[in-house]
Amino acid sequence: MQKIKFVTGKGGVGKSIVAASLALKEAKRGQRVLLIELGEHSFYADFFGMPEIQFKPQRLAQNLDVSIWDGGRCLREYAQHLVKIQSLTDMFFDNPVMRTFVNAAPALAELAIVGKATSGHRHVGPELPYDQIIIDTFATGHFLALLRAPLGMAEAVSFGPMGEQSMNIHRVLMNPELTSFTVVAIAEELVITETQELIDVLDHEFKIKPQVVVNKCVENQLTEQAVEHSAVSAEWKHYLSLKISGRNSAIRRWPKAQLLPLVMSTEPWQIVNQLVQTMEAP
Amino acid sequence: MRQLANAKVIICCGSGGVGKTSISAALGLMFANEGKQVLVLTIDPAKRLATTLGIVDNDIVEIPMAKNGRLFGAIIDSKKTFDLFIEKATRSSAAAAKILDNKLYQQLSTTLNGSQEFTALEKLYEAYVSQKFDMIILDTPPAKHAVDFLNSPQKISALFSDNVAKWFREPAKGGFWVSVVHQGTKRVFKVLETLTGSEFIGQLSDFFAHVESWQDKLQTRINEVHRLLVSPATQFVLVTGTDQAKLKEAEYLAREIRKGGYHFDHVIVNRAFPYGIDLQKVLSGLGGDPVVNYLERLRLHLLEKVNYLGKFVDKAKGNYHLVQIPEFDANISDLEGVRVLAEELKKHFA
Repeated sequence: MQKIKFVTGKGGVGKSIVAASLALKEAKRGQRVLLIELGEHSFYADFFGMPEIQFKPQRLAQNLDVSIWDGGRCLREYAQHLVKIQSLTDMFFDNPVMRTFVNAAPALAELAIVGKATSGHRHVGPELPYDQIIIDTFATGHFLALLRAPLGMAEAVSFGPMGEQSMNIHRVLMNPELTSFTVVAIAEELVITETQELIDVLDHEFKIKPQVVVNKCVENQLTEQAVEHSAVSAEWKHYLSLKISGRNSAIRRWPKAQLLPLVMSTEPWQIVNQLVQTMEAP
Repeated sequence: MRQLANAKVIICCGSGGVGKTSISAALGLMFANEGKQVLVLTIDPAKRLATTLGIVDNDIVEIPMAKNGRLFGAIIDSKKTFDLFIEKATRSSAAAAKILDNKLYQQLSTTLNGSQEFTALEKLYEAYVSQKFDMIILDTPPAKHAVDFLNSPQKISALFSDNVAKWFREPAKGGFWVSVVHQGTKRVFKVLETLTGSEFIGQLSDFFAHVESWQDKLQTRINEVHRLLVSPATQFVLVTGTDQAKLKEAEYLAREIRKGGYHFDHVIVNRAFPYGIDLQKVLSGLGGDPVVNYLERLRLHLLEKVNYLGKFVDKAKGNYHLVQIPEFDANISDLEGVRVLAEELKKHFA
């Protein structure tokens, strides 16, 4: 059964790199994985130094493909699936009024994105031959909009294919057997607070209990005491003890969180591989 | 280079997580300390900073921090602002009620691409014409991509153009197919109906039928706002972090801002290096101290990032006034953080 995972978090916490690492970890244990980024501008192309990343999946590593989805493209694919006739779909999307409309009404585009993500379970649209699909989704606010889109649309339009599909999409998203969520944070007080607010909304509004990942932590064996007794300047001591107290505060808040280290490298595969190693450690 | 202090409006833009809201508040405090009446407008989804500053809801309130002038702030409530705009723009309250009750409007007004940006600009414009402030600073809404902010008014404008509205309005007036003469148009509608169902199309037609009463005002407002944004009274400030991806995005955004014909000279690199630490100084101690070993690796890593930033700084030379702000203690309180930032910014913008 295909598993869907959404990865979100506040801007600047490194959620895309964490999503890629989660995907690589699963691929390494033999799962066929599709890593998806959303939007029109690719992050992974820049990060992994690829010429471009497209809607059509491309090989990133063994068992691991990557692609970029934008709402318009997903909508077009869905339309093609329903309408069946290519020339008619083209006519629809090339029509300037429709183009403007689809462009401006992202409720449709967002619906098409979550629609495609859940298409395997709803038996709609082209097959996605993967065991897992991992989606590096938008940061907090837009992520919630994405999650709210299906139910919102189902409430606005309760009859016809739109309402029915929306309701089905919502059901797949809310089924913990099929869909899981990961929230990425870093160990700083302000980010911890904001991340907790997101976790609370997910819980109250959707009964979703996400996995929490705390990224860019200082190494576990570094303690406040060790810093106190070390032979470094007061400024460095202060700097490091702040990072340690941030990490400890994240652990107190989320005892079950996965802690990931600050990887001191600018080489993409080195960063991702080191994060995977940490995730695999018992 | 234009002096930032001469701006009537400052637009703070940049990608998510770089500290735009803090920088906006700190710029506000810095100029208020110089004696100005400054308003900071923010769409902070977590409302954290805003709450600490004592800003609630959609209202403009004073933040009692400034030494000489006065500092005001407001969180923009996107839905409320859009609803208010429609109530003002429609000729009768009955017409307004019809739009506000439309289910599709309720769904669209919060998620419509660009509606957050539009309402931010609407609020900004309202404050600008009120002439109550010497300076207004807008912390731009978090976008999927930072450049979306620049494109969004056009998207909204295109949607409510007469062309589009007429198209969707016709079915409501004369039954679904009656007025649709053109064969191609008919086919396109049929596809929309297959995709969405007739109830959706009904809601849509109903919505656009009522749009008629305020679409002129919306177009006018979008044009007025655009004129304000490209006028010399407005200056753009780009805020960025030091991650490679953020710097690439910043370069792209900088090009787009200039291409759009906006006045833009100042770039702020936030958290460029740790405060008070000399990264050039090698750390060595009694071999085997894990803290020293860790920090030496960290120092080299931070140095590598600083060097990478150097390339970005070199490219900016002569083109922009680029300011590097250190990473301050992340655990000091929000208010104190804004004060410290304002003092630091003052060194560069005085």
